[in-house]
Amino acid sequence: MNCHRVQKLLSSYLDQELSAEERREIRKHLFACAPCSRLCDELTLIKDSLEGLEPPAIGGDFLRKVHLYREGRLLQETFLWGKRLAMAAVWILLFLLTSFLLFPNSSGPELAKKEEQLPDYGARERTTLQQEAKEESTRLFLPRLPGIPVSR
Amino acid sequence: MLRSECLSLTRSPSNRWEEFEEQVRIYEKPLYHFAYRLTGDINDAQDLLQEAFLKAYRSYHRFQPGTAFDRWMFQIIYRLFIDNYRKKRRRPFISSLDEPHPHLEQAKTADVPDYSNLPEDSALRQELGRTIQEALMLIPENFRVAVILCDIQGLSYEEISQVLGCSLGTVRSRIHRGRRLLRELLQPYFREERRRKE
Repeated sequence: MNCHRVQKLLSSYLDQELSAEERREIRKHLFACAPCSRLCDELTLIKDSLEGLEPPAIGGDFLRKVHLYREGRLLQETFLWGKRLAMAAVWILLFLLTSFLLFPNSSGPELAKKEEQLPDYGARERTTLQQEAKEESTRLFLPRLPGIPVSR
Repeated sequence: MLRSECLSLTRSPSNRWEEFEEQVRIYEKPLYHFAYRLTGDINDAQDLLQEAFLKAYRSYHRFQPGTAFDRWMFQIIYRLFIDNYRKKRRRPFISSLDEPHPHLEQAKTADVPDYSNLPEDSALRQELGRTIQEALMLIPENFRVAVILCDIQGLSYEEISQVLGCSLGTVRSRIHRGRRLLRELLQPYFREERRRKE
């Protein structure tokens, strides 16, 4: 392995992202080559310094925007449900109004009263029919066979 | 199995919010650290994280059970950061004629810093942190994010490739180039440190 190749792979070597064979070859080169060894030390120093960086102290509410968004959404949802209910009420009212205006005399109790007041023209026919049916049921049952006259 | 993975398996719409809050409580520290190292500013990091949590909450129903919440969040944070970064770049820069030009300002910060008057002991670590952060801000953001995820967050190359949505080879190259750039920027500081120790 030459210096160019080793220097290209040094970062991966430090991050343990190379195969065992590649690692062995680089280690062997680093023993023999001073510039590459120096570069390796400097990159290690950079890596260690970055790893040792302290995180900043946590300050402020990171979920502030999420809270605002949720509040807005909740309000929106409540408003939406209210709107839906109002719309439903308006539709029902409209339906009732139109039905009342289109059929003003077809209300239930009034119609029943009118029916009571009207003369019953079919009452006589109904009673005669009922009498005939009663007579029919009281008669003796005789089978009616085709071609054979049946005398009563 | 990770705690987050167990939680996501028992998800129902009713406890969605509680579950999300729990996940945030577990991972807020590393996520904030990631956002801070990416932006280099506490206020920007807080804004970025708030934005990222909002985005995550809105699409939490799409969060796949069995995947790690932190990696998913790293992805969201990075994408938001890139979007904001691009927007900032597109925005015209307004400055006073008396102020130095931005590209000259950047060139000035890339100069060899003078560390001869460094305070001792505890302040040294703070100084090192600040110096590294300054150096991180000078390298391209795609190298920066790869180095942060690898060295600060401790993710493997495979995980980084998943977060950034690129190949393993690209991750390897970005980390290497990022570290080489950091080495060039931090060499004067380390040299000074070595001389002081001797």
